[in-house]
Amino acid sequence: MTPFDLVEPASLEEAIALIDPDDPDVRAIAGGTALMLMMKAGVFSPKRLVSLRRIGDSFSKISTTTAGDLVVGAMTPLSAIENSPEVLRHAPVIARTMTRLSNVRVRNVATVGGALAHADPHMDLPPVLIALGASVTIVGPSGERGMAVEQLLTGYYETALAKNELITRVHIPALGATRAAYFKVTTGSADDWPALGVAVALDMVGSSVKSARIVVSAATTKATRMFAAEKALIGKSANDATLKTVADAAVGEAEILADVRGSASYKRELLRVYAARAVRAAIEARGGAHQ
Amino acid sequence: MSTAARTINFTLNGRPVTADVKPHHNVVEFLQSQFALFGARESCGQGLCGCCTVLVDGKPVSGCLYLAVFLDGAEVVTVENLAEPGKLDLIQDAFIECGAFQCGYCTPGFIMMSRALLVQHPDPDDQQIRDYLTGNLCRCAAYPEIVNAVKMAARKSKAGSTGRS
Amino acid sequence: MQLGFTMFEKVHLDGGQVTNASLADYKIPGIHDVPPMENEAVDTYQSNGPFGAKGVGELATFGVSPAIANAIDDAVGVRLTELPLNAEAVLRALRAKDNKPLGDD
Ligand SMILES: Cc1cc2nc3c(=O)[nH]c(=O)nc-3n(C[C@H](O)[C@H](O)[C@H](O)COP(=O)(O)OP(=O)(O)OC[C@H]3O[C@@H](n4cnc5c(N)ncnc54)[C@H](O)[C@@H]3O)c2cc1C
Ligand code: FES
Ligand code: FES
Repeated sequence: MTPFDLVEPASLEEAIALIDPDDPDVRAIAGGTALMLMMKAGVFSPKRLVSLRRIGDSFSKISTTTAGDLVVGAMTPLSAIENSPEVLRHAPVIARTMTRLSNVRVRNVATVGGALAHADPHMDLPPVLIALGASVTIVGPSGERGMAVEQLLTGYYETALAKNELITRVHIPALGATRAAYFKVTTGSADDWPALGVAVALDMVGSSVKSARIVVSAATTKATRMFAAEKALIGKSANDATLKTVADAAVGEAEILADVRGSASYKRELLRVYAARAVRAAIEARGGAHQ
Repeated sequence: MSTAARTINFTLNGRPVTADVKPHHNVVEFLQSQFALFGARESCGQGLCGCCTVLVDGKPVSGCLYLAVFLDGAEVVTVENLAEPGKLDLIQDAFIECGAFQCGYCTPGFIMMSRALLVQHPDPDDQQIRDYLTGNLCRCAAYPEIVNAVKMAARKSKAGSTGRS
Repeated sequence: MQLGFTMFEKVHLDGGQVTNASLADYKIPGIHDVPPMENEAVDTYQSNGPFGAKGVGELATFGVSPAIANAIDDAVGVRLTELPLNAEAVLRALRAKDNKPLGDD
């Protein structure tokens, strides 16, 4: 890696002030797992990194509001959400997603904020958070704003964040009777990045689906909601015929890309299978979300 | 703005130390160049293989992806600290007894991970062992023997053994 | 090792340049990928080896790929002749056999 300066501010305001929005060579560093890969590969050579590690506890806590929303600080390591009793109770699908995200060492260091801001389409957390209707709090020089995770991710490694805006918290709304599931589909070794991710969250009335969010990732340029597939599911009971139309709709609308993990035509077939499986798994998830 | 070295203080294998470190150096480079500790070595350099595993505040991390400056104030343990020179701790001992390696390149990483695993799960089942070690690669594919070794170490630890002298 | 070659290890080339020259893109088997194995020794005599002995290292790997290819043929009736024998290769062969070939994109 080429030499750079590292500053470790003690407050959020200071951190934001240290990031020059017009200088692409100055960036925030949280766990550093994604940035280190980029710096080692030579695709990013910063002049200065602004470490978020000393900013303090409020930034790395997991809590529940009185309304039952789960609030996760952006500097929370992924291993903390994997092992948090609150996350397990509130949104077990998140804790379960963690167990197959990369490995123990990366999860000990990588943060929730980094997993969102990096915007690599292969990441496992964004599709799950979008399916659960999560949002983030963002702080910049002119104050605070909120934004749905769905709006945060705008493209391939692209977000709606200004260079000097930081994510401070993630809010996951109280799930009530919502059931959710996420499938990470790998085509190489089991510990690989996903070739395809499918997240589903839905509410049922009796045996029919009242509302649903279906999100596809990894095979697309960003985690993307499948609106046509959702429409095909809502108001129906999830029998084989419905699931086939849901899967076909997802395959029709998802813009699937080829890479070393598989051709686009193969990933479309994976989506056809896993869209249906994920819906079924969500419906079968008891007392919240499993899978 | 300065790319110059700065001074950090941390505990290394139980001993308080002070060292100068450049912001762009990672933990593996730092331990090798300033402390002559070569047990954590870089193989993939991408967080995927575990050869560079060290424990920071009790948690295993990939030294290849961890900035050395971030060790400031931390407690760091490397494979060199498992047992006194000339002795083996019980995980090392179990790896030998089970033949849990061929070339040995991956072994320090697997041993450090196993140590952290046994702290979290003193009596792990096969699935827990595999899930915990999924980020460690062994090209010799000694995986079945590694799983056996971890189980043996867990058994011996329960029985109160501390290793071979 | 041969299990890796058989199941997923593929060198991708672009004009002679390797495009997946890292362990992030060239996947080798991890601890979840290696199934339980049983070893069986087959008695044999190698006339030009010392005391009739034969090396056992790589020799033991030759059988892996054909064994898995045979298992695939036995299970679903397609014969794969190119490594890796991954799921996409199997689906492609099945579709070709049904005259509904998978697209090239
Ligand atoms: C070997 C390996 C395998 C992996 N496999 C997977 C996988 O299978 N699935 C998966 O989902 N992920 C995987 N990851 C990715 C991992 O999840 C990310 O590297 C990690 O989440 C990034 O977090 P970080 O804190 O380390 O970010 P950093 O590297 O510190 O930062 C990443 C980016 O986010 C920005 N950033 C960080 N925090 C904030 C914030 N609070 N506000 C605004 N911007 C911020 C930084 O400026 C930088 O641009 C893998 C990583 C490695 C190294
Ligand atoms: S060298 Fe660090 S994980 Fe491979
Ligand atoms: S023993 Fe050779 S790599 Fe593991």
